[in-house]
Amino acid sequence: MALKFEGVSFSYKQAPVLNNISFSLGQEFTALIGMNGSGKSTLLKCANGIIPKIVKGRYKGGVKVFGEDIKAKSVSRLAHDIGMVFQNPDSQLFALTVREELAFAPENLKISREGIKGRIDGALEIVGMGGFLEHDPQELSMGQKQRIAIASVLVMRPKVLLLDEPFSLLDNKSAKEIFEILKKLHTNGTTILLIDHDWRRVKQLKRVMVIDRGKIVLDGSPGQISTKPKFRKLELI
Amino acid sequence: MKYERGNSIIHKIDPRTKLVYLLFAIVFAVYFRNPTTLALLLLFAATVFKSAHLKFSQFLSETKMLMVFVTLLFSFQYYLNGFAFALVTALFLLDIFLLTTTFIRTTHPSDLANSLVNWKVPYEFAFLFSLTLRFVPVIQRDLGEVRAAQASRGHRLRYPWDFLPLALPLLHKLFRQAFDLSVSLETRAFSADRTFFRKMSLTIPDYLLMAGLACFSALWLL
Repeated sequence: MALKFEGVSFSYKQAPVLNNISFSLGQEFTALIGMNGSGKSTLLKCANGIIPKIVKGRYKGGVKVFGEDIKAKSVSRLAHDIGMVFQNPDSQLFALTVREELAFAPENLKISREGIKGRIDGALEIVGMGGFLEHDPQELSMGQKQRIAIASVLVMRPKVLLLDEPFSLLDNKSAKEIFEILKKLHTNGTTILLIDHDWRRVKQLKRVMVIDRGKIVLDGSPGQISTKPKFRKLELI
Repeated sequence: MKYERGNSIIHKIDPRTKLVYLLFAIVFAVYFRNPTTLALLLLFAATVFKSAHLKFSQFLSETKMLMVFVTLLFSFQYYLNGFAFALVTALFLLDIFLLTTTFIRTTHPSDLANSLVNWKVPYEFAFLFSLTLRFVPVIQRDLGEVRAAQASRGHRLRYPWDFLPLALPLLHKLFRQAFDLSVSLETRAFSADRTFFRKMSLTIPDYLLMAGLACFSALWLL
């Protein structure tokens, strides 16, 4: 199993945000959907150790990545296996050029200059931004910034990719193009867990999990879950 | 104000040499607080600025608020301590602004971080320092956004407390951004034990400049 949640509960203060969450992901492309405040982003942050290592609160249960408990590993160490793309690329991009932005993570992994060059070229090719090496990330369009944010994670060659509403600030065309990139990544062996609100995209996947008030209430194929009364009640379409 | 790519001699000088010169100039300006020396330093700063192919018009437009501050301070000092003291204060500030602007505009933040690491400054501090320089234009942009948003609701700057509706959302945004960025860096395996993609090395002009400064300092001390 690439990712396994075992009875994970979390609360920032009093009210629980996640309540006894258990599921496992193999080499799949899975969507996580739910209303605002249902616990989607919190769940993602538990998957790569941001919770409880950086964001503190009351935490119970365990998460395993490729069979190893993440408790003993730092977020930086987990980054070798799990990459995370956030909703707003502006809060991720900091370097002066796309080249440096992408070099940052492999530098941290102590990869040689030649190795870094190869990884940058490879990641940019995947996201279709080959000619943008010397561009300032801050001056790109939102769609291009999100592609660079994804590439800046892909350079680490993670086996699992977590994406927290990566399309929310994008126009339809950019969102569609990035979704196609993600599908290609999955075909090449990456496990993907995507938070998204757009049912037209989500229904293209084989597995969808629905979270409501901190609990996974539905888990199955889009066809299966869309017929359930609970799904209609949540008005997610 | 941010780093501008360029091919000038000032761009090519190693950040360490520029940093040494900047610090020396500040010490020099503090030590010799007289109009003639400070005016000569201003001439030197302007020459360096021009050699970097930077534009004075852009400098003036970006430092408008600082210029207002310098003018106010000049008037205040003139009223309290006379013309000579006011002139020294104004020249001192202009020297520092011009030299710092030239340094920021011609020094790549990553090169600066790498240079500091070469000087055994912990990478975390060097990275933080370079990140601060990088985010100056971002903060300026955010401030512009907040001002526009508040102005669209009729906000005007008339009294000191009118800064609050600008400062509070800006600070909130900055703290939020800083936290998000730190999490994002962690998820990209942030570590001080790392390789450096950009290569840095002191060249002959750097050694010559350092030697020149050493001779100047020796003469000054004698």
